[in-house]
Amino acid sequence: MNNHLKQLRSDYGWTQQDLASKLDVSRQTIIAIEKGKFDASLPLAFKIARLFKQPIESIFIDGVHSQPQKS
Amino acid sequence: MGRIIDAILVKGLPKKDLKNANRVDLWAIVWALSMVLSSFLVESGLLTNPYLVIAASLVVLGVGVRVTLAYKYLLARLDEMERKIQYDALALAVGVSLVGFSGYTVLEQAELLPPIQTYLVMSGLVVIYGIGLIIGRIRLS
Repeated sequence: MNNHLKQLRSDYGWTQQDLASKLDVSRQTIIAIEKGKFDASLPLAFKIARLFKQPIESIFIDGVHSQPQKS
Repeated sequence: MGRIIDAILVKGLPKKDLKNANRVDLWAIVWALSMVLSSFLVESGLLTNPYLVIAASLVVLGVGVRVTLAYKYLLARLDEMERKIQYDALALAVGVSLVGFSGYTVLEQAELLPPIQTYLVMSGLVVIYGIGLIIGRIRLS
């Protein structure tokens, strides 16, 4: 699953370690989520959304519904 | 090579996870020592009284239960990606052991291989689990 986490994090001027500490996860988890190698759980996704004051769907991109629909 | 070393050393885990992991390691060492000591005492003939042998077995069992509970506590509070890596490694260890052991049993029944030693099965489980952890950490890094 793709996401805008890296962009958001840099907008806030936070390092990966800063974000990891705020979310109480490891820096490796942040790296993996940013690279799209690991999908955050629903509780963690909500935590991220609350931290950046944005809806989940504007941070995480659902690969199924983001594809253009055939007419 | 650096990625493998990082995977073995588990860099970057939150302090609470490291503390819980250390607790599991400590109990696992106590469990291993209690098992080795009990086996040594029985094999060397120093522990012959059946009640004492049963008591020693209960100590090993009790410490083993404590290891399991400490590991369960660790998993429940672990960083979520590391938890996934742990589950995948456990699944790999159990799966490979089941398949390997069942295959070995057929060959053993056909008398093509000698009877398998329990310590080999346990060591195999631990080694495969460790390999699973390293693979998981490298794959998600």
